[in-house]
Amino acid sequence: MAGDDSKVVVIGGGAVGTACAYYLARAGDEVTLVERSGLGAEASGANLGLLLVSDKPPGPLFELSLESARLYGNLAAELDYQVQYERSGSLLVYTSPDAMAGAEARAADLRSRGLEAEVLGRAETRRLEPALHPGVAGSLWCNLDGTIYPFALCHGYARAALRHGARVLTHTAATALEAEGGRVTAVVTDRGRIRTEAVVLAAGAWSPALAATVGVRLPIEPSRGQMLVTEPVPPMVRHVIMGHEPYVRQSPYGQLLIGSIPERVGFNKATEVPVLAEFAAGAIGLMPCLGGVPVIRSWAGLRPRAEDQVPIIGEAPGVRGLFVAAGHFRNGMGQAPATGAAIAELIRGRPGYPWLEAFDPGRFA
Amino acid sequence: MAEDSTRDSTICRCEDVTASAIAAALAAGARSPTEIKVLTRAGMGACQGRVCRYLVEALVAEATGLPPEALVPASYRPPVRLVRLDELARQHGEHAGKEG
Amino acid sequence: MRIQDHPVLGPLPPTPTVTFTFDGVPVQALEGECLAAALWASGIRILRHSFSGRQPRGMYCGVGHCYECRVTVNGVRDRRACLTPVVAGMDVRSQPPDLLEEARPAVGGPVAEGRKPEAAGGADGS
Repeated sequence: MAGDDSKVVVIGGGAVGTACAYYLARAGDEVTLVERSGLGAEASGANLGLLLVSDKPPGPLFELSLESARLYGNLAAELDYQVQYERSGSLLVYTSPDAMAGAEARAADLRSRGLEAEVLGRAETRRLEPALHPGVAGSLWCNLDGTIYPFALCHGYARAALRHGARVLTHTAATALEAEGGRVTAVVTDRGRIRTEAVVLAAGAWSPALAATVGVRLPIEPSRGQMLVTEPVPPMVRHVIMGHEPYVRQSPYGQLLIGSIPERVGFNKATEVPVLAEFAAGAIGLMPCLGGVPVIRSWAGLRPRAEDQVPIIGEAPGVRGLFVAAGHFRNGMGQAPATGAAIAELIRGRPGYPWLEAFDPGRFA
Repeated sequence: MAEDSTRDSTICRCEDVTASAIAAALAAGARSPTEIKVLTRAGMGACQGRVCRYLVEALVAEATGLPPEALVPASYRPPVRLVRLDELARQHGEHAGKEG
Repeated sequence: MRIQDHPVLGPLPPTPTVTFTFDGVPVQALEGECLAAALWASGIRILRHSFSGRQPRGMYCGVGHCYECRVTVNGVRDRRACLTPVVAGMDVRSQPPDLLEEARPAVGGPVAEGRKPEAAGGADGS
């Protein structure tokens, strides 16, 4: 069944791959998505579901996140799937008055880019988040940051893609690409060969190995992120809490999600007590009332870290029809929608996003 | 396992996941215990799947026609038991001390 | 209800009793037994409610695996009643069904807008 032809094959069932499949299928393209295990099995299933716009400097990374936030606004209705998008806003917490020196300028910069942002003093910060340590100096609030349930996002996109006629082949591993005369011609999978006119390579940290089968070098390496989740507690954290490792958010289920810092340890998804203990200490330092909350589980995922920490989105140099959508590092969730929309535009030959060229794979050639 | 009368049985008691919810996930294309876990949350609660793991595997096996031992089991995630954040944080001090 | 004369273990030896409270109500226990046994013997079978379905939960596996019997003991949450020996005067509480003010949303719940510091609502910046 994997042997049928397709106009476009998307490799990877994470947030980026499913988003690409959805926007392509919605635009009328004949799409097949292949995923070697289940949807959201790697980095897209091992993250806090943070969608951060306010931490991006002005420029293409910001535009990619901003456009994604815009697409997220109506996504649950559009997909007819409850992806648990919540535009909760964020608090960048400052633990000392010295650290707040640049806060007003930062808030003004965010406002100049169309976001709402305000610098809050200690009392106002603690009124918004009473769980925070009484000694925090203040915070920077921003409206546009939010959260998502990562698995629901992948499944929501995939199901909507199916409704638009896409094929979604899980437990189907792409093992190689084939090209002839500088053009991609097929994807080889463990369940057969799919002849195709275009390939979207959205396999995260596993993308370089596939790109190499047609001679394309993608400088992406895995970057581990560990995290932990607690038992549900009463609603006590309303915003994404950042500015201080680790990040903390509360899920709609009441669980606290705590993580993560990037670690360059290769393809290693183990969790390690010293790192988790550091997260626990950091979270309690920020919110002393968390001490008695039990941890249920820890896990880790491998973020695709591009050499320059900028996503790689666009047609690969030297192989026509091979489109890369990978290397989103810590921002896969927050940038998947606009990446998918941009890829759909690119493949249809009408790139409509002025910021897209900053992500061109040709920059490494 | 296959009798209709069991379909509304609670499979995962921590997360209140019923057999019919798992059947719905299987009907939606899930083919592995991990996919059942992420779609329904079965096995994500305090007991970490100790109660439901084998039941989920049996339901997946039944739906896919694969023997349970041929399935890739859902991951085992540390900690083995619930650990309070402050207990975990104390490990931070201990490890830091050892390294220093 | 207790087994007074076990076919293998024999008759229940005379054992001193101690008193603890469950949700403020005094409960008699045999010295040395676990909370779950004492509560069961006193006819108390609902120890907590599940998070999402709000279904009653109590002793299930009885050996510490399932975490179904967890209760709050002297203010410490998630103690397993089946593994926790009774101590005279213990303050044992069922884990409230209302740890969450609202029922859990289905996957995806309603889309919520950012909350401005001053008031609920606000522009979404898009």
